[in-house]
Amino acid sequence: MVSLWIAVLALVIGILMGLYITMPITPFLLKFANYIGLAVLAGLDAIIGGARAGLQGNFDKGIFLSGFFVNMLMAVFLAYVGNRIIGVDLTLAIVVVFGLRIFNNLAVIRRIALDRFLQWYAQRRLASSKTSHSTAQQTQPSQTSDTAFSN
Amino acid sequence: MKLQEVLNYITPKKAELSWVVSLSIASLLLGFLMAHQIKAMREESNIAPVPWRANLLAQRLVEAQEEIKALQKEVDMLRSQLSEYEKKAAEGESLLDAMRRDLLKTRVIAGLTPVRGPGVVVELSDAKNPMAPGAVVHDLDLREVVNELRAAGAEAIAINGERLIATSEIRCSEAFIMVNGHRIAPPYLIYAIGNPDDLVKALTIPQGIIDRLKIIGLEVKVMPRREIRIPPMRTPPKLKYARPVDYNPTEEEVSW
Repeated sequence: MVSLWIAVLALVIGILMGLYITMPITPFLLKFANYIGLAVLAGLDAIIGGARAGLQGNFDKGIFLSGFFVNMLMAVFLAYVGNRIIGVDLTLAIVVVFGLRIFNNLAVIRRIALDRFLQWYAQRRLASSKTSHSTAQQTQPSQTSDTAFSN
Repeated sequence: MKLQEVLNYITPKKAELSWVVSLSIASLLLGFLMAHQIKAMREESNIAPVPWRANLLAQRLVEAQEEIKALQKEVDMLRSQLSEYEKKAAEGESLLDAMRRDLLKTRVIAGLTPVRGPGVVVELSDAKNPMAPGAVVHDLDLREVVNELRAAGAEAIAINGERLIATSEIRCSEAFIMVNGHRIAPPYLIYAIGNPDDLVKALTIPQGIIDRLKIIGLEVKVMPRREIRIPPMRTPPKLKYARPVDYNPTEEEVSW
């Protein structure tokens, strides 16, 4: 669970870097802000999916990193193609799909977190009720959701 | 809690290591992109504070309209004063009489005085069928009709009570048509004083302006009248820049 906070810290550092460091690609990113927004959404989805997989113990680096980059690029690409070539606004579809996935994965993470918190709380009560050293058992990540997502 | 325990708790387990590292790298990148989104949003709000500007403009419009009302009152007052002077002057000599006549004629041409006489009334209104190619009357349509009337010898023209003078504009302002800086709305009634026969013929000539307007679907009526009245220009234009060059009237000009 703590590892998640490391990722959040990395996110904050990334934001600060982006805000205060000007890179050669900055004007490009600003120009295509409405497409980069979709990339951010896709990336957020990948990270939250990765976090869920990690908590459930079935994280795969290859799947995560490929999903992260390919989904970002494809989101931008599809939106661009929709706007310029097909003439159908695919932006909405992308937002809906990633938004849905983000909330689903967040729900799973929330359940896991709640489960672990309750376990930890029960153990602490057990330990405090016994004056002797309690043999704290390693908490195991538990499968709380029957939904299966790929990250 | 001992420091060691805290550190143990914080440091990721070996199994978690690859997870944490890749998640962190991805997060770093995502944060970087997010920062640019934040920047882009800021720039956008800098460029276009649209609602604020619209409010400001609306407020200025209201202020300007009130100013117009006040000035209108002043104009009315000055005009009554002027006509009084004219009356008094008319009681004077014959030169003054001639000058008064000239002045009156100039005022008719300039559109500063109400006029009456024979002419036509053209009524233009939006198409009944909303799918017609020209569903609404545009400023261009009015301009064309007015142009045709002038070419046919109309001496005074007004649209919905707005006298057209040399500096009058007919232009589109969003959903309205502006004439002399005033909004007018359909149905548009164009009054023109002149020879009614000439005016009607000029307008209704086959493939002329009226035909064209009817083809695009507008409702057009041309009504010759034995007598119509046309109001003066409400606010005579102020001359800020134009000045007469050294002016020596010739005989011809004096005998207007």
